Amino acid sequence: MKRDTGCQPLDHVLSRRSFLAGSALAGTVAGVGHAVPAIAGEQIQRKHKQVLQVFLQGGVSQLESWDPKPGTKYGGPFGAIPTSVPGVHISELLPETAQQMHHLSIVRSVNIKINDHGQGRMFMEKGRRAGDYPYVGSVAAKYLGPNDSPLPKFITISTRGLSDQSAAFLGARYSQLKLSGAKTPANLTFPKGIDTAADTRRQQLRLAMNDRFASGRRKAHIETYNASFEQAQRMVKRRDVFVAEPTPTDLDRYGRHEFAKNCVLARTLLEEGVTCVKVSHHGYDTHAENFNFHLEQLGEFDRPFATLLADLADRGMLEHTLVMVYSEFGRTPKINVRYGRDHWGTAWSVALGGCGIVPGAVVGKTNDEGTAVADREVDAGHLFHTYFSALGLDTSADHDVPGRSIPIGDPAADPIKELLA
Amino acid sequence: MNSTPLYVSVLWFAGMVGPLAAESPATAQKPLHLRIDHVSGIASSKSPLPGNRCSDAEFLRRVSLDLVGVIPSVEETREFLESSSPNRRRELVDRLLSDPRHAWHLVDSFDVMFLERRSGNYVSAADWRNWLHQQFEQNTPLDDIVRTILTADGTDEATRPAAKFMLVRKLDTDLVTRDLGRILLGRDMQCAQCHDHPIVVDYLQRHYYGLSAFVSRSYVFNDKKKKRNIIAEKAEGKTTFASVFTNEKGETGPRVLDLPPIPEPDAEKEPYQVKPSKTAGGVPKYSRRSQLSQAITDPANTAFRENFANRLWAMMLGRGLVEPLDMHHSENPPTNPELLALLADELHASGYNIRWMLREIALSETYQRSSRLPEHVPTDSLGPLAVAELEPLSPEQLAWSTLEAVGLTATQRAKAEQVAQKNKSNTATELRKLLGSQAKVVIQTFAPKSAGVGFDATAEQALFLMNASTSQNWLTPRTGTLVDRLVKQPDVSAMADDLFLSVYSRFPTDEETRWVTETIESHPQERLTAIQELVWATVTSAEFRLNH
Repeated sequence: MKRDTGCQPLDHVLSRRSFLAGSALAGTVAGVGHAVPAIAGEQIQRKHKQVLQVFLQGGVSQLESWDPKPGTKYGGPFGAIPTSVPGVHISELLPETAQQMHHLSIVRSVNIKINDHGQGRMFMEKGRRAGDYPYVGSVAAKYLGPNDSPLPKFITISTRGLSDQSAAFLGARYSQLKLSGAKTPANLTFPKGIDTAADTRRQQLRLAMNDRFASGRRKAHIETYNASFEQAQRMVKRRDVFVAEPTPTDLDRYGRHEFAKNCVLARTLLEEGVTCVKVSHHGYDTHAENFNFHLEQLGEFDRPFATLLADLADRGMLEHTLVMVYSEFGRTPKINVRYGRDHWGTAWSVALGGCGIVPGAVVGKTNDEGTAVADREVDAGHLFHTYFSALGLDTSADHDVPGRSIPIGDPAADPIKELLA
Repeated sequence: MNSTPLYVSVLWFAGMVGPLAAESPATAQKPLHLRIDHVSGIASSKSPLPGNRCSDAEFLRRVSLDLVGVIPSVEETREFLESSSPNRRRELVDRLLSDPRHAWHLVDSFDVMFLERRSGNYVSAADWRNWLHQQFEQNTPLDDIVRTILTADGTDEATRPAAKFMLVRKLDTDLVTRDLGRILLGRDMQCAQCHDHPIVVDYLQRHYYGLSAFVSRSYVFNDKKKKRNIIAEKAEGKTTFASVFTNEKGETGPRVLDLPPIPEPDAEKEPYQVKPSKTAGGVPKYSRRSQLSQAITDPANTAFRENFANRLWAMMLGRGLVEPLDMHHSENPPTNPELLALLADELHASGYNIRWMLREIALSETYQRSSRLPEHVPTDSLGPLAVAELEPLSPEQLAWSTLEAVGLTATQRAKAEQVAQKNKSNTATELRKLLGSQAKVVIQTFAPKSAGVGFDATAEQALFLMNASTSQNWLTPRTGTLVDRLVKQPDVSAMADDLFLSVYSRFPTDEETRWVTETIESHPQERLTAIQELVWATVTSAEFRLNH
């Protein structure tokens, strides 16, 4: 995929697509994003690399999604359909996604050797089998995008309370801000009796004391503490981002259910320059009634996801935004007595695309019945290297953490080279 | 903070100046604090330069936070700053060490050190903390505390709370192994789980698995009859490992780092006292886990004493001689190896006497450096310990200090004294209970999302300070609170004194008194609003947020 490095003038009429190309200018206004009039603020694209994570929590079935095997022993009742990439077929449960396949690639040979939700999720997020390492989103937040961004750099939209220590040794500044669906974060409005003028006054008093204290002392911690208030004040100013309701047009295009609204919010946050946005879709742990549940779940997933992908492509954002669709593992080929499929880390698929990823490719394959990887086995360590190599990071380099030497990617794994554009 | 601590513990204190406070237990040498200053270079006039001694006010605030976990009350501050005793700093240290708040502060510190804010249902947090409290009240030697933590299997009610260290980690072999290395030996050998550490040459895969072998046979057993979870153990199970880089494979029995492996008895025909079954947790005749406590605290294992000497030093100075605290290795040496060796040896020789060690550190001139950079001196000519660190208050210190500063502690003191009399406890303990839920909100908000990452200031925390109902409540005038006192004080200069003594534990400078006056007089709204803004701004300022 060729990246558009052209530098065209800012077009105030703003076809979103044409605006994008001119975003070299965005660098100069990035720091004052909140001061830009709403219309332009919405459309200014920061061209730094971004990440969209779509997490299908519970473990989506590869056989009902990216690696269908209709008519085989374990294939289940659903068929496979052609996609916008000649020769590539995916499950008929994803008709709209199929039309966007030219933006995505599939890895069909993931074997993480883990069948546990917690451990699988950690491995997929950290690229390490065990230990206290930062998540993809926190690593992205640390190394991509400007540090004075108006919004937190890693935002997760999820309706379930999974506990996440996402930043590990990178520190809380890079940990996720978690939004419960499209619900506003806590404490974004001034308390009764305090208006903007009063807030400005009290913050000035605080800064006056800090200036006095900082004089003749080491400044690092004082600046860190001040920065947390600056970030907080920016969030108060940009409260509109968190409370905005999707437009009727978007509701028509994406859908009206929760995941659809979360996808619209994800798009908004990416447009606002958030470095990593993670949106979760829950309910894939189908130990019983696998087929009915996937029919329902993927029926909900397909349109908003495909619409989001198309919007990102349409607005030129895909060129600098890596998209990954993943779970903690896949599901067993064998169908149990309750028509369910169980946990299965042995041979399953993920999809990825956008920034730095070859589009329309299929890497690796499973055997005819889907019971083992037949070619090009990879695990979450390889995927982690692949994501960040695509984003332009040297994954063999050490993390930027004083006193420690920790390679960004697991030294025992490497990127999937054939996927790197 | 309350009236009892000053005399309540006379008996205990007499005990301390006896065997505990005798000079260095090892020899009849000079007291340890003098030797610390010699080895740190602060006492010598040689370069690098030793920085400045901290002022009385700096010392008071710092040592109160470090020994009792909270800033001093206005009364304590006035009393200390007005004292003309030449030994006032030493007297203060001894007073704080005999204050009931000291044991609670150690509970907070060691609770977080051992559990790292994990919670679980197997042993309640209250039982665990009360057990710790008992240990610190009695000044139980630190190695004894660790031995009980590692030995307790949860079947004996007296030591059951100590089993929380293992139970809260669900006996997950890798998690327990890693944390034994990190918390007890100062070595994070995580990378050595899958291969010899790629960068840290000292951390070998066999070290990791040597520790792992102590615990890999143990598991949590749910005793349904007694409705509790205990630690059980199997009699078999080898610990093997293979590098993901090379074809190297290994097998190891329990061993601590490079010390010889623990000799194991010959396999018996019947290896169990109690066979593991659905209704009983296994109890082997030979338990690998029971070897752990002796092996880790064995005098031959110098990593243990170095680790805790470094951790106690970090609790006081805000920074370890080895940083990060769990990265002791040859390529990350202590900033002052001789000093760490001195502290480690003395900790060991003192019988792991926590209170004595903290006292000696507090009395050292090294501890009493100012956080102000000396004027007209290039920074690189200063020694590594010449200027005190600025360190964020722990969430617990921040919570209790905030409640003290804004006067909410004062509003509960009379009630706490009454309850203490009734319960035959002490005011500090009762105040903790009365204000516990208010402190908890702050602790939860400020608890770092990950361990050991330095100053974790987040936007969510700032939003809490700006807008949450809890933080607004700090500013509501109620009889006896800081805002209430300031509103009722007609004299602006006296008002500035009260504000600064309450929040910063010092008197304001003339410039600061003028600043307060101007802020009040030029304020567009009523006086209460101006006062609330001033209190908010000082409580959210860096001088309050940091230990300096």
